[in-house]
Amino acid sequence: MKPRAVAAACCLLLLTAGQDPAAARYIARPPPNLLPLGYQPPANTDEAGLWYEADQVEQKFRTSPALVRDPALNAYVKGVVCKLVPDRCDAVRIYILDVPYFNASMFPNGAMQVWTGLLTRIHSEAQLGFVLGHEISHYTHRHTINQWRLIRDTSGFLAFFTLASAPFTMGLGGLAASAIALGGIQGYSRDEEREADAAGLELAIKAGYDPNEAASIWKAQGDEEKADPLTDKDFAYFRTHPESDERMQTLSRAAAKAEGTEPIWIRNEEAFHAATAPFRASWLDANLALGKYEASLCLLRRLATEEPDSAQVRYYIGEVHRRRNGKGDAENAVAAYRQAIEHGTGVPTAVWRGLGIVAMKTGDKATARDAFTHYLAAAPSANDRAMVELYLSRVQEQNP
Amino acid sequence: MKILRSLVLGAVMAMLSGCATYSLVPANKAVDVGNGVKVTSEISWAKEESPSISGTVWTADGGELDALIFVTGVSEGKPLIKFDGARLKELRVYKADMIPDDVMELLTSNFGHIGYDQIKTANLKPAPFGATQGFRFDLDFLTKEGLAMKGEALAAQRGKTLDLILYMAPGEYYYDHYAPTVEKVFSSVDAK
Repeated sequence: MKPRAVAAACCLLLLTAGQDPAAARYIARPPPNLLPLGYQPPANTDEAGLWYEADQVEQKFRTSPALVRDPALNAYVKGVVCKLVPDRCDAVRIYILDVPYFNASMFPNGAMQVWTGLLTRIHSEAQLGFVLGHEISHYTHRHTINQWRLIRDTSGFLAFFTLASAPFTMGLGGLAASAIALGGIQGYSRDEEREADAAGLELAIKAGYDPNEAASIWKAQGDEEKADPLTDKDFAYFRTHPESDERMQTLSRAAAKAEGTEPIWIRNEEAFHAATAPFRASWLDANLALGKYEASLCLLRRLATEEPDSAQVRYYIGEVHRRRNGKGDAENAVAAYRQAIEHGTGVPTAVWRGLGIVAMKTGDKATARDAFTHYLAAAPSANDRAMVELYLSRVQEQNP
Repeated sequence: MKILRSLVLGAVMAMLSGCATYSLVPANKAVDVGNGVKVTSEISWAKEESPSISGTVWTADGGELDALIFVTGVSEGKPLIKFDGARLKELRVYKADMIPDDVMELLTSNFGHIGYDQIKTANLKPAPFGATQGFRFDLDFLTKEGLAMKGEALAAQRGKTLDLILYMAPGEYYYDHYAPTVEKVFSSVDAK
């Protein structure tokens, strides 16, 4: 039997096994080669060499300007890790990196990178728990050494760590290019991703996280992929991971099996929002700066559904329309800005600026004057005050 | 045989120099940087073509350490950076009806495609561009290698084209070292 077929059969077994009364009754049987606690590879092995390379990348994480060092956010994410794998709480080291794409990845030495683009796109601690559980499962199942041995004799190995450390070595453009180089290992990797899905869900369920939250990650991600007409199919995450639709369906079936077996499933949406709220405006700014407006709109519309009272989300919807500046965008931007303003509390000051700009460009001078005046009053020390005053003078001159 | 040897030697020299060709920009002399824009600097610079941005680069200590970039005469439908034709559709391009905010976002967006990360802009304000009403803004970003850079842009929209002068250098030491000189270059703009 081919390796891929073996892995697929294993995956099927994992998804249907049900002999253990605790976690395994839901999803999986622990595989025989889990990484032992406190494991260090013997010095004369290829695995030791791999760990050495991972140590070098981890050192880059520690000194990277992209590293998010906020103690509270790091403590929160680390806390979720410790809920998932209490016995490996110290072994798994988290590095949150300010990169606006959806990704997290685990290294064989226990280091894990979590990109802020992932935290922007999920909405509960249960979802975070599933993603982290998935990545930890790559570590505990020693997937990386398996992959390394498969690809080390091919050109793919050149991209192996390059991709992992991409935010520090290549920037986002290089990341996509490297992703293409990784295409050669996608078949094998996808099987391991399926296995990590199953094992990650098991960890999340053991921690009491709502299993239904897992599938919704992939539904949202699938929607975003479909909305983006340009590049995401070239991006490493989607070339090396199973299709979102497939994952969503698989995880939905697994969640259905677990449904009702726990008296109260944990979602912890409030805790997740409290931990991430101080950073979300800058994360959304970074998302919009990618210029993938259709994907951004897909994300923001979902956030608007999940957070019907969020003025911030509506402001960013207005921003996407303003920046895209296509047919109908001016009207949609104004509508979104006005919805944000109508929420009354938590309205970003910049909403007035955005509204003024769109109104100025569409010739609605009265609205532009009112919006710019409001902005200058609300943000008297804004660093673009002189520019907005110039805009204001232009709309006043045009209609004295 | 002598001609062949000279050609080979020339080719080798070009390879050794990275194929970049430099020319001297003299100090204290008005220099045409395109689209009818002239500037004067109190120091001399080395001039080269930018590998990634659609313009001419002046540098004092080397393009990686300080760069004064002139992107002039950008017309409707053109980006600010050089980019592969097949992927051009991914880029935001200049439109004549853009306002200063749009131009600032255009630069940010285009820089993201070069591979620069965490690009942040601030202090957008009106500024003279010669006799024309222009604008300027600051930016910070990380290079592909993770080096923290600072920059300052002076721009103007004249007719249907955009002229932009961008100074960027590593935030530590180099930016501040040439910033006063660049400020005088900005003040020297003569745009016809």
